[in-house]
This record gives sequence, C-alpha cells and structure tokens, in this order.
Amino acid sequence: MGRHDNDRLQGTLDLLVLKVLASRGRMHGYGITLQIQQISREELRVEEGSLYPALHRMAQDSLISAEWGTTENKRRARYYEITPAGLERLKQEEENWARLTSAVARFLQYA
Amino acid sequence: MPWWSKLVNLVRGERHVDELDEEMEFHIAMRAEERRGAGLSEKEALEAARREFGNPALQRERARDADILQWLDTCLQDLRFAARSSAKSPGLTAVVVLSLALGIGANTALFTITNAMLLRTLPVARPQQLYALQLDENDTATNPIWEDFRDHQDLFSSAFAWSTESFDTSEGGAVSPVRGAYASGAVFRTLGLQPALGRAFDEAADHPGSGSDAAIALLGYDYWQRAFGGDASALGRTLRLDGKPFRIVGVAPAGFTGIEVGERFDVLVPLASEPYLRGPESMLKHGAYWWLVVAGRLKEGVPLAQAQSRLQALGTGVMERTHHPEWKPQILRNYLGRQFSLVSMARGLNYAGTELRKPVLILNAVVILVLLIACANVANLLLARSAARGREISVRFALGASRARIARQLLTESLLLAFAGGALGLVIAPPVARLLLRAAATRREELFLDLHPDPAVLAFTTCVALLCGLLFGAAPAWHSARVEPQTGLRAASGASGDRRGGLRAALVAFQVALSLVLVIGAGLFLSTLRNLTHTDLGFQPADVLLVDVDLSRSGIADAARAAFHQELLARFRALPGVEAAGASLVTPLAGNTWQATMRVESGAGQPVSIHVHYNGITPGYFHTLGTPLLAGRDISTGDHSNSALVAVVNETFARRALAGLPGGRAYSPAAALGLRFRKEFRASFSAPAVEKVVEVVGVARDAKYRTIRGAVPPTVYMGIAQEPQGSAGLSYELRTRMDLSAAAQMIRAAVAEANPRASYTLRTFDSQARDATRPERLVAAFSSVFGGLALLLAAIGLYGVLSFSVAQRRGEIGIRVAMGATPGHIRRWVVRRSLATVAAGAAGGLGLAAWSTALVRSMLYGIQPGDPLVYTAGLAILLAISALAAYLPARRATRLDPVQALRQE
Repeated sequence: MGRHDNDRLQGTLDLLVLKVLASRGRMHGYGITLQIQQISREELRVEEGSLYPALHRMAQDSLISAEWGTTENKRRARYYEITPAGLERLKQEEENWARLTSAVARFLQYA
Repeated sequence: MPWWSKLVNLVRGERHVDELDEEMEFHIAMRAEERRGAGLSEKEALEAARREFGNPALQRERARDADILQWLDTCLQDLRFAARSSAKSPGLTAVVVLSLALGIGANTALFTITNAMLLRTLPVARPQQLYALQLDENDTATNPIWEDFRDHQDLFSSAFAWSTESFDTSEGGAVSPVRGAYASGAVFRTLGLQPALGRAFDEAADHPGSGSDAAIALLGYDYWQRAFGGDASALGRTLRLDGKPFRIVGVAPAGFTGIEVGERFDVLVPLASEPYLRGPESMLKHGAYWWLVVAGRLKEGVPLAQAQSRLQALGTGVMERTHHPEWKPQILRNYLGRQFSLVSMARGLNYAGTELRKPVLILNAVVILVLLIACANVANLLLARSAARGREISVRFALGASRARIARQLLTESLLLAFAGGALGLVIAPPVARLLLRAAATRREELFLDLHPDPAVLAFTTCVALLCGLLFGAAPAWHSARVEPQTGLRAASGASGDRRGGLRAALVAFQVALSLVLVIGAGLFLSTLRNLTHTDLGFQPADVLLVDVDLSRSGIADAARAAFHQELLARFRALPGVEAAGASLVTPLAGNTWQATMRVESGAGQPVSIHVHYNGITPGYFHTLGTPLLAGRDISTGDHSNSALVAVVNETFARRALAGLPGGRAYSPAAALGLRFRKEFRASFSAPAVEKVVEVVGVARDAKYRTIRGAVPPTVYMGIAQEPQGSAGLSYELRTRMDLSAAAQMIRAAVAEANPRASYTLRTFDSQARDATRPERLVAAFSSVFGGLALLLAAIGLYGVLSFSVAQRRGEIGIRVAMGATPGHIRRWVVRRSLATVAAGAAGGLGLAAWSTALVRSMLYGIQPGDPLVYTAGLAILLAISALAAYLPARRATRLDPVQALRQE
C-alpha cells in the first residue's frame, strides 16, 4: 500500500514515534506521548489520541511491533518496539526531513 | 499494509477494537493519575485527561479506517481508472470482451449441460439416501421381484417401483404421445415430495379394488401448464391414455420431472393400473418381464456396507420365491445366481448421461482450448496496448507509483474486462446450451434438462472469469511492472518492444498450437461422421418412409391382426407414388433389437448354437429397402401359418453356421440354402415356448441392424405370417419419392380407412439413420465450429503481432527500402518473421494433437487417431490462414513511404 507521503503532519508524527522507539527502546503509547512532549519541550503538542491510529497503522505496516505487557505498577499496557523495517523507514524519513528543512531554510535565507 | 492483515482486521474487527479501547483507557488513566499528582481532584483529573486525549471513538474509527477504507478506496480508484481506460479504446475493449464472452459463454453452456446431466442431484428430499436395486449389471427387475422385495425388505424406510412408458392421448389416427411413467404408491412418500396441487397416490393405489379404481393420474407440472394452462380445475377431469379414461387427482411439484436424467413425465399413473391399460399384454401380470426400476430410501443411520450385505441375504430369498415355472434348469441356475446390490440414486438414473458422457467431456475439452486461445489473444491485445501505454506507465512511475501499484492497476483492468466478458458469456450461454441440447436430442428421444442457471453455474462462470482475468492479465501486468521508467519515457516505441515482442510471439505460437489441435480434432470427427453416413448399411434409407402402426387399442382381436396388416400393406402398395412397400417387426437403426438363440442342425452330433438378431418381415421387405438377395428366394405370400417354416438369413449367419458344421464348410451364399435350425415359438404372449424347425430358403446381403457402428450381427428373417402370435405393432416401409407432408395425408387416409382406431407414427428412414449418429453429429458439428473460431482467433493474434512489429520497425523498413529493397524483399522479410512463430506453434500443435487424439480413439469410426491425411489437411488450413493473416501487414510494409518513415524516426 502506498505511503501517505503527502500528509506532512502524519509523516512527522510517524517520524517522531519511530525516533523515540529507536532511541529509547520498548515503550507504551502513553510513554511515547510523554517522551515526545518532554524532548520537544512541549512545543509539539498533537492531540494525544491521534497517536493511537498512527501506532496501529505503523504496526500493521510492520514498522513497529506491539505486544501486551505490564507496567512497573502492575497495569496492563500495550508496548511497542521498532522493527528493522521501521529502522530503515526512520533513516529515510530523517533524510527527507533534513532535505526538506534545509531547503526551506535556504529558501527563507535567500528569498 | 499487507492485504492479509486487512482481511484479518475485517474478520476479527471487534477484538481489535477492544484492544485499542483498552490501550486508550490506559493512556487516559495514566494521564489522570499524573494530573491528580499535580493536585486536581479525581473527577477533575479524569476530565482533563479526557479533554487532552480527544475523542476516543474518533480515533478508533480512524484506526479502522486506516485499514479498510484505504484499501477499498484504492480498489475503487483502480476500478474507476480501469473503466475509464477501457472506455477510451472502445474497439479494443469490444474485441476483448467479445472474445472472452465467446470463450466463457461456450464453457458456461457446456458446464450447464454437464451440471444438469452428470452432476446435479434429484430435486427431492435428501437425495443422498436414495438407492436403486441392481441385479448384476441390470437395473431393472420383474414385478414378482419387486413385490417380494417390497414385502420382505427391511433396509429401506420405504421403497417404490418405477417404469417409464409412452401413452397416447389421441382417440386413434395419428398418435399424440405423452411421456408417462408407472410408479407404485409409495413413490412420493419415499422421495419426500408434496404434490403442487391435489393429492399424490399412496400405498392404497397398489391394491385397487377393481380395474378402474387404479385409473388415477398425476400430471407433471410442465404438462399441467402446457395442456391445462395451469388451471386448478384440471383436478377431477378425465384424461384418456391409450383410450382408457383416467381421473386426474394431482399435479407433481415443479422441478420434479422423474427419476431419470433427461427424461420428463407428463403423466404419472399407479403401477397397479398397468394391467388395466395393457390388457392381456400386461407385463405386470406376466411376471417374466424386466421393466421396473426399484429404488428406496435407506434407513437412517444404516451404513451402506451393512445395507449391501443385508441385501445380498435378502436377495437370495427373493430369487428363490420368484422364479418362473416355465424356465429351464439352465436359465433357472442363472436366475438364482444373480446378485443384488445398491447403487446411488442421488443423481437419478442416467442413461442419457452414459451415452453422451464422452461427447460432452470431449466438447468440454474443446471449449477449454477455445477459452485458452481466447485468453492468449486477449493477453496479446493487452500487451499491445500496454506497449502503447508505456509512456503513461512511465510517467506514473516517475510520479512515484510503486511497481506493485502499477501491476495491481493493470490487473484490475484485466479483471474488469474478464468479468464483463463473463457477464456477456452468461447471457449467451443458455441459448448455446439449448442449441447443443437440441443437437443432442433425436426426434424420438428428446432430452429434458433443466438449463436454468443455478448457483453452481454462476459460481463456475465467476471462477472462470476470475481465472481468465488473472491468466491474461498476468503477462501485461508483469511486463509493465518491469518497465524501466527511463526507457519508457525515452522512447515509446522501438527497443522496449522487443522483449514484449518475444512474449507476444510465444502467445501466438501457443494459439497456433491449440488451434491446430482443434482443427485436427474437428477433421477426425468430421471424417468419422462421413464414414458413418457413407458406410454401407446394406440397405438404402433414402426415399423410404416409415409408418409405425399400433393396433393395441384398435379393438382388433389378436387373431384378426395378421389379416389387418395384410390389408393395410395392400392399401399402402396401391397408393399412387409408392413404388414398393413392406413391413417388419423391427426397423434397422431404430435402436431396438429382437434377439434369440438358434440351434443349427448339423446332421450328426451337437447342433451349433448361434445368437442371432431376429426380424419378422413381409414379402417385399428386402426389395423396398434395397437389400439384395444373394441366393435362394424371398419370403413369399405362399409362406403362411400352415406351410413349412422358412427363413432368409444374412451372410454373417450363413458364414457362422457353415463354419460351425462338422468339418467346417466353406462359405458361399448358395451353400447356406437348405440349412435347418430350431427356433422357439409362442402361441400367445404368455403361452409356453415350443421349438420348431426352420429351413433357410434365402441368403440376403449383410445389413446393419441396431447401430451403424456395430458389426452386422448374424440375422434371421422370417415371415410374420408364420409367427403364431399376431403382433399389435408393425413398422411399414414405403419407398416413394413423395415428400413427407404430401405422403402424410394419403397415409392418414389409408390407415383410417383400414381402421379408424388404429394409431400410427410417421417418419422418414433418413431421419432415423441421422438419429443413429447423434453423438457423432454433435461432436463433429461443435468441434468444427469451435475449431473455426480457434483458427480465427489465432489468425487475429498473428495479424496483431505482425502489424505491431511492422509499425514498430517502420524506421528499419524505411532504411531497407531506401537502400533498395524491393517490395518482394520486404514482404519476404515480414513473412519470415511470422514463419518462425507459426512453425513453432505448428510443431507443438502436432505433438499435442498426436497425444490428445489418441484419447478419443473410441469416438472415431473408420479412421485412425493419427490419420496422416487429416493432419496434413489441418496443417494446410492452418498455414493458409496464417499466410492470410501475415499478408496484410506485409503489404502494408511494402507500401511504406521510406521518407516519411525515416522522418518519424
């Protein structure tokens, strides 16, 4: 199935999720939300719920894997982990992102 | 997302949503906990968490949509696109859909027949529980066997006996036949059927008080519609069958047409009414006639093996109680040794299916080949189009479409075309099926099959269309997905066509091979038919009319029948335009036989037993039919009941009898004269047989008896005047040049003058001979039509490939012409290109034909599967058609203007 290349925002969310999972390892949805908010110093505030369809889709696309586990305080939670395909995709997305931002930066500098 | 996980989603949707819900609840709970930590009350914390989370139902929908909608959406997109691009080239689309419709339609038609004839179960309750009795290889029983079995059996929950019969509803004169059947009372109960109207008979009908009590009738549903307009007032009305009144008590349910595939009853009467109908010639009363099919419903839970062994035990008792007092020890031993077994009746009795199984299977194979050829053709056309669309596809690649996406798009287009073809095929299938059925039916034996498309047929057509779509869609899809975007953009024509050209040539070679197989097959079947129709029958059926006269309800006494026949024959002979006339008990090729064993006296020692086909004739029979007498004399008017018994025999009989004599005498027609043999005679239908000596006074040329294919059997002809028993039915042969309709009036008048209540049927001998070659005619006609179709498709394929290659090589041709190539050179160059393809296909086709025609050896007559003439002719036809298909592109190539061609390059 084709990727949603045209959907920038969604693409960005994917990128953030993949990045978090790649650098922090196994994590549940709430944890991912916290991480994104912390690292971006509350700059990137997406509607929290919209994370879940994205996680679901990425799991179906085998970019991440999901399984049920328990938290430190014994709650049942769904944990996500990045897959090799996800790592590959992350690399692409990072390059795309770098290209895009540098292009936009150049544009802002010289236009 | 892989498609299977989408399917999994669709199936397990609910559980999936539960997981998502739980996950989101966890999130909200965690967030609320955090807020509580920041000092909010429990309620406030939860509210805040929910607010931040957004609408969970919406997210849930989004998660699901991600799975399904996207998938469906791309499907719809593909479909819309496919429809648009098909509409853009209406000519191509029409050719593709039409050739598919022909291929799929032919297959559907054949499947409809195969399904109705060989696969479908009877429309009764739980047909799998129904079994019929079989005695050795025979599926009929005598009435004593049926009654004894009925009264002693314990393996069926109920059982019935059935026999088909033709009744005459006229009051004399030309017969107005209806199809009937006798059935014992439990028939509807056993089959689990309810009448559509009125009542069915029950067991009480098996024991009627007096003769006419049994005279009740059930109408077949179709007959009720045809003859009574579906009017409920038919109940209680009187129907005359063979002149006897029957009261209509009910109508059978629609769809139930009897227990025999291809048969249909118009009227069903109780078995017990048979003596009432047939009077002194009742088979039920006589007891030694094998005419009843016995079937029943196996008791619930009884395994078949157990029922079989129980039946064996029962059978011995049945046979011991039912043998006929008249039988000699030899026959009796035979009788007692017969073994009962059960055969499934789930699909009904299937005589038509047994006879036509082979032709139907062959035609199935033929239409499958045609469909393959059509698919190859369509694949070829689509390849050509995808070449023309190379640019479009390259652009889509460049815009970021994946290979899989492009391949899927093309496959969607193929499937759309396939299903369009399939839908049209469903429309043309029923008329084709009906046409086939009409071709398979003979004038006397109609085949009744329910050809309405049922779910099985629809499923079949859908599968075939799907398979076709994948088959012919695979090549273009695979190819386009491998196009290098750069090459595609650089040159829409030229180099990129080459690989595709190879594939297209291979497809054409495949078509050529298959169509050669079909052409050779058609050639063999046509030769078979020609051999059968030109075979020496031993008589001349042309210009002979057959009149079957039946006196059984004329009121003429047994003793007066011989005189009546004599008078009627004289009347026929006196008709203007009738050159000769005779009569016989059996007419050749009518499909029935009279067989007996004769014991030829050898002077010393044991007599020679010869199993013969017998026929009773009148003087003039041989002359009318054009069968020459080789020695001796014909039966004459001087041979009557009081003179010495004499017979005319055929060459085969004479040869067999002479060879069997002590020392083995050499055959010559004259040597057989004076031979004496013993034959059994009966004074009446039920009288004991008496052996009498008959002398051979004439030898006739061999003539076919029942079938054209079979060898001529030893045949004995005797005068019917010397038969002690007057026959109710007799067939008259009239040699006349008048046509049927002109003769019909005179014949009607002649019969009515002799006796207004005598009934008769009229037909030409030619039509009877034609009926005898029904399966061969069917196969020959349809394999020729489909062979022609296959050739046409192959020619279109070849033409398409060559045209395409000429168009692609305009530049090259232009250069050649500019360098001085003559039109002849160019033509040869193009034709050479086609030659390799055709030769490869032809070679493959010859091999395939050699293998496959050997499988139909038993369907052939007078020709070997590897007949060199047929193969040569098939090859010649194929080459001629190929040359024609190559000629047009070649001519176009020679007319190319080099300047223009080069400029375009």
